[in-house]
Amino acid sequence: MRFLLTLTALLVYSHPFGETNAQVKKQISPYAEKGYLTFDLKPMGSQDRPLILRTFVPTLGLPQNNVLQNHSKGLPSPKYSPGSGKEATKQYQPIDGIPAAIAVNLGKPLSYVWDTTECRLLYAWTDGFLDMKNYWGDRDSGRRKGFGYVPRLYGFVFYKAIGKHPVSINGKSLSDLGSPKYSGYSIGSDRLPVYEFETGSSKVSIKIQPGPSTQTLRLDFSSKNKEILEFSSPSTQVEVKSKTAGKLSIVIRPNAGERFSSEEKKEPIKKPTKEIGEKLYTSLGCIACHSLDGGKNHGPTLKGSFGSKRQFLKASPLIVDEAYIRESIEHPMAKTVKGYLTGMMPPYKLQPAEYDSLNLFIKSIR
Amino acid sequence: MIRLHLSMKAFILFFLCLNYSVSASSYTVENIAFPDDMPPEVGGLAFDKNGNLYACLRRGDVVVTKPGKDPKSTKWKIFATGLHNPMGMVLVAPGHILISQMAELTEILDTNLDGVADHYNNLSTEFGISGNYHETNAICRDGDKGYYISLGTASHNGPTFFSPRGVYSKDGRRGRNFSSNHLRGWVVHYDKNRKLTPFASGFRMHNGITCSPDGEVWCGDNQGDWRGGSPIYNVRPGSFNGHPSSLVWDPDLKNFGTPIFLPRKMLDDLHNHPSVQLTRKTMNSCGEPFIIESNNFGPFNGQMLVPDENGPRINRIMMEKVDGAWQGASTLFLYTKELRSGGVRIAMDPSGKSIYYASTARGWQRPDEGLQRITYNGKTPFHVKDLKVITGGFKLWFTKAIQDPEKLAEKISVRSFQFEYGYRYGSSEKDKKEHKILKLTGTGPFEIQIDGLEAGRIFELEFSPKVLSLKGELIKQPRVQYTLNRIKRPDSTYTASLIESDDGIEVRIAGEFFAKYNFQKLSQPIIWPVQGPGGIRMLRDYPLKDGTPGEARDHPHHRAIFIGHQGMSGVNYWHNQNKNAGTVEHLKVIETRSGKDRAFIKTLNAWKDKDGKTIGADTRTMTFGGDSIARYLDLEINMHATNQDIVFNEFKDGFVGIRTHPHLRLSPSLKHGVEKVFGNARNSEGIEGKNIWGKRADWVHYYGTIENKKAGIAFFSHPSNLTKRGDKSWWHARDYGLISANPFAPVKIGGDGEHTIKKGQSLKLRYRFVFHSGPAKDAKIGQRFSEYAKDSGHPTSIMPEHPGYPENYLSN
Repeated sequence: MRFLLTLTALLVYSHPFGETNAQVKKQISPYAEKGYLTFDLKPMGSQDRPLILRTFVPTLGLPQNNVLQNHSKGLPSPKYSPGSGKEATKQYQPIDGIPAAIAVNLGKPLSYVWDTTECRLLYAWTDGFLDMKNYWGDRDSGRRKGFGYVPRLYGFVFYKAIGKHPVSINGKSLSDLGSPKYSGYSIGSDRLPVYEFETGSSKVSIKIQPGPSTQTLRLDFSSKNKEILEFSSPSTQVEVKSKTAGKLSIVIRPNAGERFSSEEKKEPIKKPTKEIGEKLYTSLGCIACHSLDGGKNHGPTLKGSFGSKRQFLKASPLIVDEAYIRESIEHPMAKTVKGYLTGMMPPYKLQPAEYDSLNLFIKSIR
Repeated sequence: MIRLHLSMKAFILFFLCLNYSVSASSYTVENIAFPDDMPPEVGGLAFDKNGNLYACLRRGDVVVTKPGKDPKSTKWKIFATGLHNPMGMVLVAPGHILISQMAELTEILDTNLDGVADHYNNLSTEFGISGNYHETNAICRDGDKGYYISLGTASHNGPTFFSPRGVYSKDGRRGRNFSSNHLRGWVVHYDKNRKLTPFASGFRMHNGITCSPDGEVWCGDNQGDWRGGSPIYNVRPGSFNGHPSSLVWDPDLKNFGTPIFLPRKMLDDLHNHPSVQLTRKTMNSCGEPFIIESNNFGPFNGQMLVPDENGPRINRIMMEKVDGAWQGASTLFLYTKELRSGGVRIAMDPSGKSIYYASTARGWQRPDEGLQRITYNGKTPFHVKDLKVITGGFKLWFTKAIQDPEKLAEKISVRSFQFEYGYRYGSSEKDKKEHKILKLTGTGPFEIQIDGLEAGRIFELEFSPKVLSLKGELIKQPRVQYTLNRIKRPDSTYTASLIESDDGIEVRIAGEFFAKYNFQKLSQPIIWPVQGPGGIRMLRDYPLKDGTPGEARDHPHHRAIFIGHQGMSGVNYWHNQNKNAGTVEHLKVIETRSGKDRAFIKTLNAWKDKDGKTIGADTRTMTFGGDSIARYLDLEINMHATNQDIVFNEFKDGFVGIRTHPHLRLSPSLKHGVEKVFGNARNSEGIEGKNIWGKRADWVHYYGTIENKKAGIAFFSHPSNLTKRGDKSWWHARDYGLISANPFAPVKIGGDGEHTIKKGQSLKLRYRFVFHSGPAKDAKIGQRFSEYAKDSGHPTSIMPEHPGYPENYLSN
């Protein structure tokens, strides 16, 4: 079974895969070329210039009870109306995401996420990195995606952490030694980060780099107190390259195989509805400045806005209608409502059905 | 209609402001260049001793430049990379910085001196991150090799993760901005021994923190929920700064339920009110306060600049210390189209002539970001230089002499207002008043006496365009506002001072012992001993001290001055030896003030049943003062129904009691070993002797001779106190020297009966004790009461009603 999975993975990988591969072949990424982050929303490093990115990263289904055992548990919470101060029976749901990890990309051959809370490698992939658009926003609007801003992983995931912490020290599993404490990382002449952490009285460091063949990883561990280090993980093929007192070098073979597209799925809206509008209201971030309950904020409330009379800083007054709402979303600088600051709202370019859905939603807020 | 009118006004003011300062001829604004593809979302800013400017950028890079004369040719070098929303930076040495970022406090070092960082050491991850986008951070030095870090809260406009870091609290997760994970909404202290301790709670989004040269810690915050205006806080250790969610991480508050649903008055009493509140006219959201430490940047050395995250403007703050706390004035420093919006940080270059102004607005408005240099050209601007409060008014300084100073009064209008404190997002101006100028004296500075100067309000002085400098310049900013939290205390020869210790606080008047508030090792806090002028002992020592000659050992629950009730929601807080006796636990001293004519102590207490279950809370303020013949103690107690409805069952024993010196007894008791007494009693209604028991009155007065000296004790109940079945308080005043004012005495003995404080609500009760020496008539008790009746007590903020508790409050 594992063999089959690996084989499939290799097949998929070796197949020239659409535009992602083509792009990577054609051009070197701005970061790899210049060494600083640009407006590029799909930044990539290279083996000469690894890109280290601290950001939120996806959970990729890693289980909380063992892999993420040192994280706490986020719970649903009652929805809150800031206008009335009351809670509703509806709930906010938590989302997937890992808050304090380090994501590293060495170009096409390897990306990985090492987590500072668990002090372990969480997953690795090839053929892509993180799409930061939902978090950083594009150059013009700068908007994160309301409730879905965790950067999107794209590429081919070939390794995922399984079970409790794979490292043991002098025969004792790290999971049983209490929460590890992340100490930091240093960068050597090869520009690769070497992570350090403490557990009990032990100080361990780890360096992660591509293995000898595609979709393999080379991990070099060392212990300051020269303890015996071992690595074992269920359903994972591990080849020990060298093992001496205080040192362990291994190669890990793939234990997963899942491709994540570089393109975000966008389902065309067949028919505009106010429910779609409501979703857009939160996901686009309108919620941050336009209340639904009459509460004052950076922008006017949506409550009772449709059909009401508006006064503007410069333009003549009008009755709020669909055309005005669309204009306000598409070209927010066109008119500024009296009593509010100009230039607070970024422009949004949406599908026509999305504007219509927002219109239906706004109409429904009486 | 009102809204429209306000909007119109705001619109006109907006343009007036711009017009006033477009010709900002004393300061030039230049744009510092970045490579076109480098997002200049500047979060942190600092100079090293070699004049290199470090800037940290939101996506994770730290870049360095040596700014030259021509800002367009600025060349940046990468120093460090791989940081998550770094928003705070301290420069330790060239090539050695400290960064606060989303996930941790990080030390970054260039150990091989090649100009690029090679070590990223984690100094602390001992605070939570929920995964919410809104959790800002900032850092400043503490002046002692340590640092303060501000940890912003999360916003309900974004989610939290299933797997956050740090302890998660469902009670902290509630509300608009929230503190779901450990220490969000706090300022924490990372000291020189590398230990992180919580320092102060109650912040919403304190995007920026500053420690002044004299060691004061300052944070701005953003207008929003629990922020009527944009506040600037003087962050005192242990203080709660108004935004409730973070209180889940305060161990003293942990038994009172979800912080956002605490009784409003309790939050108001806990609140370390902001030193300055800025209005929407000048500020939408505060960036990091910056203190000018230069004489080369105009005539404002020592003052504070605060940029606006949501507008092209910088405010200038003029602080002063009044009655033990910082407060002050604000005006616009710069408001010009040349300035970018989204101002978050300011740093001054080594010349002291220029400041660098960092802005970023990603995620909260249209992108407007970068770095600008603001340079003083040496031409003194015509501004308000300073504004301080004086008795009855303000003292005003301009930077330049003015034309026709004798006519200045006609060119200033004075108004005032308050901001609401509560869950709503921001506040309009409430309870607006216009004030007459009664008198204006001086030729600069000017002393302005105004009608109706009152603490707890924001005063605005507006200058007409006729206020001109000698050269005919128009004043740069037409308005200055003063946040008047406290007025100047009058001088007094009977100065009140406090001596704090582990078990209590001692009060002295003119250096002479008056009283001690004991809050440790007792079943409830007790005031004992109490001495009148000349050291006259006023109270029975027993049971706090046994063996004092002439004392009866009856009623051992009568402990000096004590607060309680025989039946509060079924728990006995009066008879402390009863099997159903509860305890009142002192949780913390919220605030003390002393010096001048009075001192006060404000504390938070938990009311628990015999099993330790919390029933309710109180915040009490005890104010102490004195004159040549008397000492007074004011008790203002706010009972808070935090955990359930509080029901004061009708009982004769309650609520504030005092047990007098045995010599003030009205009758002897051979059985108790008291053979001779020297006391008389009289109440405000003219009733005398033991007949005052069970009567209604404004006050009762026990007087006579204590240890051969004439003396007495008067006990006032404030007319504003709850009395359900009469105008005046019902008194449980006994001939053996117990006096108590009881608003919940049984109806059948003439009392007011049962009373319920609904969960989420509070009840205020106010009493005064006067301890005098000399004969009763000289003490002028009636006159003293009239003065007390007029005293409005400690101010209460304007607050929206408690929204009520959700139905499933306890179950989820």
